[in-house]
Amino acid sequence: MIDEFSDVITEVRKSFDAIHYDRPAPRRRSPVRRLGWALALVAGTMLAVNAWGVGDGVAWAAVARPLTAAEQDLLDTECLREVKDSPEPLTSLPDLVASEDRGYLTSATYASGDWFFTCIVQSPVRYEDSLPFVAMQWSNIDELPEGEEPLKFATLGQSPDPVDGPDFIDPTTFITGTVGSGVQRVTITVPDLGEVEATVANGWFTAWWPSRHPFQVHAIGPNGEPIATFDVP
Amino acid sequence: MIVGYLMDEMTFDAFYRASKDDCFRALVVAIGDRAEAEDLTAEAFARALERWPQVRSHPRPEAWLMTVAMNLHRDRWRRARRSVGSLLRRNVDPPPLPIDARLLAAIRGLADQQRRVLALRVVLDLDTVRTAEVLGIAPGTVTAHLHRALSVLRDVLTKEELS
Repeated sequence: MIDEFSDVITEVRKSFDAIHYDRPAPRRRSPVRRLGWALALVAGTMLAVNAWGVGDGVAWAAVARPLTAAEQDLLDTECLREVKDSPEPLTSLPDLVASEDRGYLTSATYASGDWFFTCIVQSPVRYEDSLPFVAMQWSNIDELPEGEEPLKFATLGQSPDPVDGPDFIDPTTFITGTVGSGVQRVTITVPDLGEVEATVANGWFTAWWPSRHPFQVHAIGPNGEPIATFDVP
Repeated sequence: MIVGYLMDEMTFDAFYRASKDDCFRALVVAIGDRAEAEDLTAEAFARALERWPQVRSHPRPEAWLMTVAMNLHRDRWRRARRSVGSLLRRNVDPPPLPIDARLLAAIRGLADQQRRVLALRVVLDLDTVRTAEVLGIAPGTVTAHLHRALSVLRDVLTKEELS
C-alpha cells in the first residue's frame, strides 16, 4: 500500500533500478588532442595573414632565441590585448615565466597564483608594430596532471591532420609545462628532426617544432644526467 | 607522474563503475529524455576524468557530476534555441525505458525543478543541503519541491495499485 512518502521513494528507486547505463567508460583524452584547439586556432589566423610556414624565409631552430626587451614588450602588449578579448577578460597579465622565439612562432607563458596563460604569435622579427596573433590557452594550474615532478605538461597542442589545398597547415607541435627543481634542461627527441632544446625558465619549459610525429621528452639534471623520459604518442 | 596517472585511472574507474547507473538514472529523471541523459552522462564523466584530481576530493563526486551535466544541458538548450534550424535530428529512436509508463509520465509531468529535486534527493540520495547547493536554491525550497513531487507520484502509484 503506497501511503507514505518513504514508500513512494522506495517504489521510484525500485523502478529506476531497471535502468542501466551501457555506454563504454570514457578514456582520458590524449593531451595532444585535448589541447589541439589551441593550434587549431592557428588555421584561421594563418589563412588571414597568409604567413604561416617555413617557406617565407624564417627557419625553425632547434634551439630558441631569447626575446629582446623590446620584443618582449611587444609580445606582452599583443597577448594582453588577446586575453582582454577572451571570454575571461583580464586587465593585466600574470607574471612572465618563459618566452622564446623559434623561427616563425614566438610564445610566452605567464603564470600567477593558480592559473597560467600561454600566448603564441608570429615571430616579432618580421613585424615592427604588431604581432599577428596565432593562438592562446589559459587554464588553472591545479588542473595540470597530478603526480610527482620532474615534469608536468600544461599545454600540449598539435596542428590538425594535414589537409592539402588552401587549408593546409604546416605540421606543428607545441608544449609547455612545469619542471621540478632538479631539472636543468628539457629536450625533446623528434624522429624527423632530431633533438629539440626546450626553453627552461622560472620552473617552466616551452618549445615547439614543425612535426606531428610521436616524440620523447627528457628531463635532464644539472650534471647532464637523465632524470626521466616521457613518451608522447 | 606515471604512477600517479595510473592511480588516477584506477580510482576513476571505480567511481565510474559505482556511480554510472545512478547518475544516468538521475539525469533521466531530471531531464526526462533518455538519449539526452545518455549524452550528458558520457560528457560529464569524460570531464570528470579530465579533472579527476579535483573531482575525487569533492565530498560527493556524483553531485559535481550532476552539476556539470545539468549545466551542459542548459547550455545545449540555449544553443538549440539559437539555432533551431540546425538542430540535428536523431534517425533512430532509443529503446523505451523499462519503467511503468504511468510512473514515467507522472515524472515527466512534474515541474522542472521538482524533477531535478527528485533526481538528486531520491535517485542519487543526496541530502537536502547538497541538493540545494547543486541546484542553487534554498534547502527549504528543496523540501517543498520534494514534498510536491512525492505527493503527485503517490497519487499515481496509489491509483496504479487500485487499478
